[in-house]
Amino acid sequence: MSGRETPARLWRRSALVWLALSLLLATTLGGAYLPIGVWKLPLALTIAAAKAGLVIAIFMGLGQAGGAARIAGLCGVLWVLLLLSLSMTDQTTRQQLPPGFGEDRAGQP
Amino acid sequence: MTDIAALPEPHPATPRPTRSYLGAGSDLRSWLLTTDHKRIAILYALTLTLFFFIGGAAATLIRIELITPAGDLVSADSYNKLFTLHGVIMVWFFLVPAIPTTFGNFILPMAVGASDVAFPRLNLLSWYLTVAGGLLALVSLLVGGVDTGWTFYTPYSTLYSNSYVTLAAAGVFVAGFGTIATGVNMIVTVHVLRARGMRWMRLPLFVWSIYATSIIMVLATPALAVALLMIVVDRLFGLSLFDPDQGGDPIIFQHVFWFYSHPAVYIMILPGMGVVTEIITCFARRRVFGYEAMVFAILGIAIFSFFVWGHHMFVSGQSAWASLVFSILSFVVAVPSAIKVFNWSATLYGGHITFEASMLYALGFLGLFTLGGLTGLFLASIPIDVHVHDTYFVVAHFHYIMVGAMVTAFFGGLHFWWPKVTGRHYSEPWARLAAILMFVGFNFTFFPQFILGYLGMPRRYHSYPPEFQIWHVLSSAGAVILALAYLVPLVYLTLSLRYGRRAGDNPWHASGLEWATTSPPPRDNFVIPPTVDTDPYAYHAAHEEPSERDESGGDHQSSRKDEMP
Amino acid sequence: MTEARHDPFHDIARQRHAAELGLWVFLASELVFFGGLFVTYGLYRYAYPSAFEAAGAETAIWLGTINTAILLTSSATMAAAVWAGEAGHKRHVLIGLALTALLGLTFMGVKGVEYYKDISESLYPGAADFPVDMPGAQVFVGLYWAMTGVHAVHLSIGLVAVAITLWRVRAERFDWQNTALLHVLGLYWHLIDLIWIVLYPLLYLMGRSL
Ligand SMILES: [Cu+2]
Repeated sequence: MSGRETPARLWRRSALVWLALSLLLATTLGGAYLPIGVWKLPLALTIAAAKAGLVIAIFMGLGQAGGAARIAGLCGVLWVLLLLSLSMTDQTTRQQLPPGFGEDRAGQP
Repeated sequence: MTDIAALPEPHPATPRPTRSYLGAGSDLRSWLLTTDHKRIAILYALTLTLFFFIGGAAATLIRIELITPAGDLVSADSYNKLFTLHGVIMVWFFLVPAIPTTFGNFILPMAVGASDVAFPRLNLLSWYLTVAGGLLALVSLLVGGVDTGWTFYTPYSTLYSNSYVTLAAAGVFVAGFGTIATGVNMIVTVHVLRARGMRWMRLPLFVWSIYATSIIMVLATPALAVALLMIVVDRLFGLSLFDPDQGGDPIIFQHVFWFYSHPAVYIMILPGMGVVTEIITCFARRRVFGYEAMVFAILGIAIFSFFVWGHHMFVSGQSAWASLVFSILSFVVAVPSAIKVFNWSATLYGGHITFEASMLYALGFLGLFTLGGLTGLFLASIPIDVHVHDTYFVVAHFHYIMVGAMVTAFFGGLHFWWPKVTGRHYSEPWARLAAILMFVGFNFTFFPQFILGYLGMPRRYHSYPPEFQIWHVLSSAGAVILALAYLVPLVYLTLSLRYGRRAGDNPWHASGLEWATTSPPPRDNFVIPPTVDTDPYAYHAAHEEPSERDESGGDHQSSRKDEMP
Repeated sequence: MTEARHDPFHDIARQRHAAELGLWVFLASELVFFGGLFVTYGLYRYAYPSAFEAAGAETAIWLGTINTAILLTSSATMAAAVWAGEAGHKRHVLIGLALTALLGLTFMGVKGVEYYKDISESLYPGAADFPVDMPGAQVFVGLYWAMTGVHAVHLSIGLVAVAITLWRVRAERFDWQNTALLHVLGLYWHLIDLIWIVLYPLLYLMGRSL
């Protein structure tokens, strides 16, 4: 940050971001009651991502952070996605035994 | 990586005190409240030695029990607690912290030319967390023990086990924060505190390997922490997160657990690889073959290690498709490891090789790591794994990596840097004897277990059919040699502290920055902060005639021989 | 006030850089920590979509929304405190930190009320008259408690850190303008906010309808 920022200016900057965040909060709350079925979760997560983006970019000052710090933060997100996506390969492809499987053995010791 | 270039170079400060770091006081306070990375490394070394022998004692009892087919020494229940104790202590209180917190702490700041790690007080806190975690785990294991195995699998660990799971998990959890703190410290140290002229591509491969290890520590350990946390809250508050009665799925726990625990294997082995690179280049008097390839292999291992965890779950009920994906990915992670083995071999080729004790350990590492790695590929292929899963084949495989490779590398590093740490020489003949004993004893102990496992002997049983006995007896006999080999260094290293000859600043004529300062080093490592203007491993380049260097190399050789008792 | 620079750094710029980088690396670690819970949630939600909706509709959406607003506001005041620190306005640092602490405390208070309400409505795993009788519903509620609980622990640590920093800035115990300490504290606080931003839709917004 170059120069001496006046208190009024920095509070205004923070208030503007706060306003945007609050609007997003209202949107996501309203969106939760929309009859959009399976799209609810993507909508809610998109808005959450927008909120998170504002906090990261402005409040946390990712833009001013060094390259290594940015890579570090990115890695955190990527690693969570990695854990989710690779374990989803399991969760989404679990086999169900075909109906009747093993019934011919039922009752046998 | 580029942002640091924007910062001003550190200006060479005024000369600092020359007194050895050991001279800064000898009372308990000067050790327990130290922020000197070298003293913290010593604290770690002492603590880990203690844990190593506790874990080893459990292993000894296990091997004694298994001499006869009947379960006659301990009950089945005590046997469960014994192998859990062995696993928990060895994995989290020896193998994971072993090299990063000792040599990483002691050598890394010197090797990059810094006067300490980036956060010295955090470094001390790491040690206290490790000790606190270790004590919690020890208490849980002493007051009644834990019978879940080191993997804490649900739902047994959450719903059924009535042993001290919560306490042990809490211990590992606490120690995990120590590991994360160490990782953060090392990463930042390498980024920010490199000496003037120490560019990224001039870092010794030991530094690269600790750096890559730290990345794994930081990104994997929290997954373990959260897996353990879910167990603890489940046990304390009955959250039934993995209770099949409520629709819970124990395999989800395994996903989170192995997301840590496979990369953890590389937390253990990568630093060992780094140590071995330093030793092999030094005692082959050769520049490392394929430096860039080594760097990318190290980073590749660190990243790919996160893609393969499902190979531990082929028979858990994981979907066959997922198993297929994880199996293929597991073969991919073998590539950078293979590159490293080839590069070490190529470094040795045409080298002016001498067989000091640490070199013997490094060469042993090469063979044992290769064997452990290749059997790992067997296990990564689904048909073989289904056959030998949960048998001694798996036990033998991971002991080849963790004990055969990693502990061997630890001893190699210990002998390599001992003169730097203490300023004294140990007895070279005894050290060589111990190295050879360790190699022989290790193979004697664990090779029979490959055969046992292939024949179908399952792991974690204290009694077994008599036809397996011959292999168990062989294994236990080998364990006697191995145990002896671990005790011998304890004696001659301790004796060297008092009776050892003074080592010069650079007894091996090695090239790293840590050898450019006195032995033992001063508090701030360097009297005048160093500047670097050469690439690492300034021994022979691959294309140069080894004989060209023979004059100086020969000189070093003879002077070293003269020093021998 | 002591000197801002300390060993092993030669200059304050490098020291600031180290502190910031260190905290970002720690944040990545924290993301994976919460990530384990998020992924557990995701895998279970895939397995039991309707149970998660039914159980999700039982959480206290108004208390959750109020708390989200409180936490977002606290991030704004924290950001202002950090910026004021860089510009050297001590009074505004103190105001920002005090507001942040106050909002954090309020969040914890509301959370306490909510927990009390949850328990009185049998919204905990193993409750005798658990409101939703579907496989997976108790897992959702178990995750709700685990996730909000771990978040509350982080917030409590943050509260203590903010309170200590507030006092140390007031007493001029450290060079708050030149060291990275305020910035680092801010990063940690924003992380707590970030986690909640993701928790909120997952735990409160599922299965709602008019
Ligand atoms: Cu593995």
